[in-house]
Amino acid sequence: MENTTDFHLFESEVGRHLLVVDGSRLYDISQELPTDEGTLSKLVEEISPAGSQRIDGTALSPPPLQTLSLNVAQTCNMGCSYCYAGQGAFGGKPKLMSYDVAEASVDRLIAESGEGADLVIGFMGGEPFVNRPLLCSIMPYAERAAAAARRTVRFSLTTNATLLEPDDAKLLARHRTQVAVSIDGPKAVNDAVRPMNDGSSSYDRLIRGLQLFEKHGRPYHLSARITVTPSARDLPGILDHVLSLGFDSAGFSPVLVSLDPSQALEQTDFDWMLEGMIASGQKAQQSILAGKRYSFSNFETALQEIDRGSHRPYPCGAGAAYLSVSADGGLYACHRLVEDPKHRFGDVWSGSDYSARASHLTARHVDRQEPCRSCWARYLCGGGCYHEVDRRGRPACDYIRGWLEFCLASYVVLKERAPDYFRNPDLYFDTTVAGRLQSAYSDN
Amino acid sequence: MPKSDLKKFKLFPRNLTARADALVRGNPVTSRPESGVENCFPGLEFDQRNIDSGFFPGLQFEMHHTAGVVLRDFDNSAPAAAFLRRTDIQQGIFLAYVQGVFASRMTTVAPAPRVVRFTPPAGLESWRFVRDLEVGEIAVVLCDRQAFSRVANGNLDIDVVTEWLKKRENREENLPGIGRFVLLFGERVRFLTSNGVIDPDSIEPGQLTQSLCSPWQYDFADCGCFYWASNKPDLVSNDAQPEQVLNFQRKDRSEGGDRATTADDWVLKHENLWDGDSVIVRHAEMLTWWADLPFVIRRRETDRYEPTIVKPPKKPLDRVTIIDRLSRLASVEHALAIEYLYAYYSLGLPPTRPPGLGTVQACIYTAGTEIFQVAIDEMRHLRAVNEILIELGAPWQLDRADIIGEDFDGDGVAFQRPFALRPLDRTQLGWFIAVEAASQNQGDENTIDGMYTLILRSVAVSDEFSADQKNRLSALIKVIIDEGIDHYARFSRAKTALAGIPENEYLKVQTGPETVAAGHPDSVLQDAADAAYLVVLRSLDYVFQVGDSQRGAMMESARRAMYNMDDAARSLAARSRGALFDYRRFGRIQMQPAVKVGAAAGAMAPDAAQLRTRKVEEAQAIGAPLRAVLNQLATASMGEHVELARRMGQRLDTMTHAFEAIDKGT
Repeated sequence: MENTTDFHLFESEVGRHLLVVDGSRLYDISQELPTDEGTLSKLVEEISPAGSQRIDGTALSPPPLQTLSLNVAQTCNMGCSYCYAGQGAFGGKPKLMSYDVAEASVDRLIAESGEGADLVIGFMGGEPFVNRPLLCSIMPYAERAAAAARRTVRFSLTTNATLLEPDDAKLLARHRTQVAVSIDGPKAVNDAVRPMNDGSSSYDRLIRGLQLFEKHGRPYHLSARITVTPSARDLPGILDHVLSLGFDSAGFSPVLVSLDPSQALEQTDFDWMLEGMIASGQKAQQSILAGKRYSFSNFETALQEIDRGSHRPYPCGAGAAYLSVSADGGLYACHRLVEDPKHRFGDVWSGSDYSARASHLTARHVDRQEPCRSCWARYLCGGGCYHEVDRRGRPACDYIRGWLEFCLASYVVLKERAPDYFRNPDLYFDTTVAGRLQSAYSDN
Repeated sequence: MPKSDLKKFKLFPRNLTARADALVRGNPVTSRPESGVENCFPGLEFDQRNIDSGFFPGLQFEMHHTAGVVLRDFDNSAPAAAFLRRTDIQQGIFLAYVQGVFASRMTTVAPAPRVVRFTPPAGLESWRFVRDLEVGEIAVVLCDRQAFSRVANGNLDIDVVTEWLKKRENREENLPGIGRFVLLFGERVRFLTSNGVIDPDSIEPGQLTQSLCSPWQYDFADCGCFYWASNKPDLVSNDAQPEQVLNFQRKDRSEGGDRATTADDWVLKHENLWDGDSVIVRHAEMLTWWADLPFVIRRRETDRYEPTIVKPPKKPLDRVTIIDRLSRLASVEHALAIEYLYAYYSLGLPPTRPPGLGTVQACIYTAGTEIFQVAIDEMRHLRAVNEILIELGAPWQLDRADIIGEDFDGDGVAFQRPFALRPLDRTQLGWFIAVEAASQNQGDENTIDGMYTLILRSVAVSDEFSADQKNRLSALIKVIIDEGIDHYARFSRAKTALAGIPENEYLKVQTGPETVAAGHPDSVLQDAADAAYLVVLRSLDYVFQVGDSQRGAMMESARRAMYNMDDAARSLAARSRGALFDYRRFGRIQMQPAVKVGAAAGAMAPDAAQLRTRKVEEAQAIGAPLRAVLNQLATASMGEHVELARRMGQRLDTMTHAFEAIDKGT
């Protein structure tokens, strides 16, 4: 009796556990407890009595905005074979965002945010550095405008790092930016799917970009985003290589939607993908137990979310606290859905379309999706990326459940054997926390 | 399986949501003193810092400063005496590093000693480290103020200190360019017995509680503004500097010494000092210098208390005249409050202070705060005057005066002006100053405060009021007079703050109220502000109908209406528009009484259900004008308008529900 709508039973090295789906509450249960459905249902009913569920099917009302991504350059200097955006142009003509649009976007985010909010502005593309002058001017503007409105603002930026200049590294370091760099593995693997527009190697340019960070200023957080395509299957090997380049963290993302369908994963591909993810997860688990950093972001994020008991009826914040701005100022549910008329929610001048956002959130509640509504993983998964589900359906459910099953069991082991990791991973790995605590072991 | 069978199986909550569900009854028997909440402020049983301040043998530290942990005393027989002199302590000896095993910060099972740097922000942070320090061998590194600031600036690599500490011998180390350090080694002082309770031999009588809940003691200095246990005045003025803001705990007590024009400016002036250490009387000093801190009466430092003697007036007013005057004063308080509010909103300010001192934005903010405070006072006066009227059995007055100032004594000389809404330009500020300056002349009954004073004196000598009534009336009138006293100073400070800034730079709204054309998105905002204004007045009207005992709670609910008006007016100001403050276009303050249930049937008294229905209808009717406007606002195309409608709607709901539940004793 392991899979029901309301609970999920699983085993780990530590013992037997029960995930109560509502509220993502996780319990150790004794081995003597019978595991027939009747007993467990009764137990779950005691834990989560009918009528007091944390998620009851009510749709979220659109909250104040917190994050806005700006598609500053809907064009790209690379020609990745799997790109969902078709070299950044999303099927349209290449476009660059003007300063006026960017400024209006910042003003819009502030106007529709809550008092004292911590705002995030993301720069996406295409390749954001194609529109370098805009980045240089809008970041200081956003900081001034946010401060004047008593908000704080942080930045994130996704880049291929091939256009980086020394001043760019300084810019990102100065303006507290989380930078995600796209890289798919060692040179041969990477260049096979991520060539420059002229067919030349992007790997060499990327390495040069990373060196600029080391030399001229490291961003607040530097992560690697590894796209998984059918051609490169050695995930643990790829992860080892990428982390060896000095990223703060690295994670995988499979291609489900590509303009070139041969680059997207098929249902059968998820078997080897799951194997690779678990192998990498096991290595990360061993590292944590040994007190060493091996920041496999898919795994670490899952651990933190499970620990907090995150339970959300949506896969992400798209259309809720998060919207994306197209180069010409349209507001869309997210950066992947830019230029999709079905997901256009207003524009930066007249404001977000509240009722369209509300209907989006009503329609997308995971309890209204099939087959999600009867899946035990629904409040951890949220029903899958809107962009992918609309175009591919849900081919990867077994993979997602398999991965979560591994992460749940791994979580229990780590919570038992390395509880301090969950209190504060940075302190756990003995790194400096914002300069506050300078500490060292002595060997006396 | 019956439900109870489940009880014998253990269920261990693993993650945070599961643990949040678990019901915990009190502290487990294994609780130790240091596992208590990290709070040493009043109300708790003892101050853990009093124990931890002696964690190193022979040394007494003070951990209250955010600037750092300072050494307060040492035993002459302790090893420290070989390296330190008493005069060093006066000049400041700081705890720079501690080496030991920090329990909850261990990352491995085997306890490993580590070196921790004790630099700002210290205070509670450093104390937490000391609290975590396990028994066993420890080391401390002390230094003077100058060296400490270099350590804090990161000029000394912790590896150097770690290297020093390998040689376990009490000694001095000198680092050119950084300073002199004293290294001391010892056992962490134990204060618990083997049973885990506080060892009576290690603690002096009174030591556990010496800093708690006593005037002039540590927590008196710790108390933040208006903290419940505190009657520390924080910011004051004195006779020599009546218009200046002085910190009650300032060290520089000379005339013309440490002062500022506003409270915020005083705080900002010393912002960059280490916790204001050099300018403020701190914990230990307060124990010594308590007698130097003066009495504070009505926010003013003084060395004497003189009870106010109310002189009998030459021509006391009779009860009927008093009621007439109070009714007119109420409408004037209302008019002034709105003039001040309009001026305040014309600045288009953020609700909280912008960063920085002396910047244009900070100056504008300072001016705005002063105006806003006066407006709030006037609104409070409006309520107080009406409370007096109700006390006298007279009808309350919520209408707004069209003329400010009255020739009460009929001598043809009076300070008068028609009610007018203007932005806070120089002319308007000049008028505010003039009206409050005139009011300070309490001998002239044509001024507002002069009239209150005359009423106060008349009540005192009248035989038309009972002794009990006299007491209550005097108390209310005195509050109004007292609060009016600093309005002149507040407006003058606003003028100083705005001096030199061009009007078009500080005014977001540059004109009097201008009606926005219907159909423009801002038109609905103006409607929302006015409808909210009417709801404020209707709520007050409703609250005044309620008996004395419930009025306080109801007033608290009615405040939601005020927040709504504020929210709408701010939104307008952000768009460079003024609110019209014309409540009359949405209806009357006094509502028609709800149709009496069962009235047609004659003398039958309504039953409980009918009464309930009537109450709900009445409560709904108060908010009805606003509700209609909010429905329009919620369908606006702009997300910020929708968000505003949502906020205002929530407040209106809260208020309406509270009013529905009211028992008016009908």
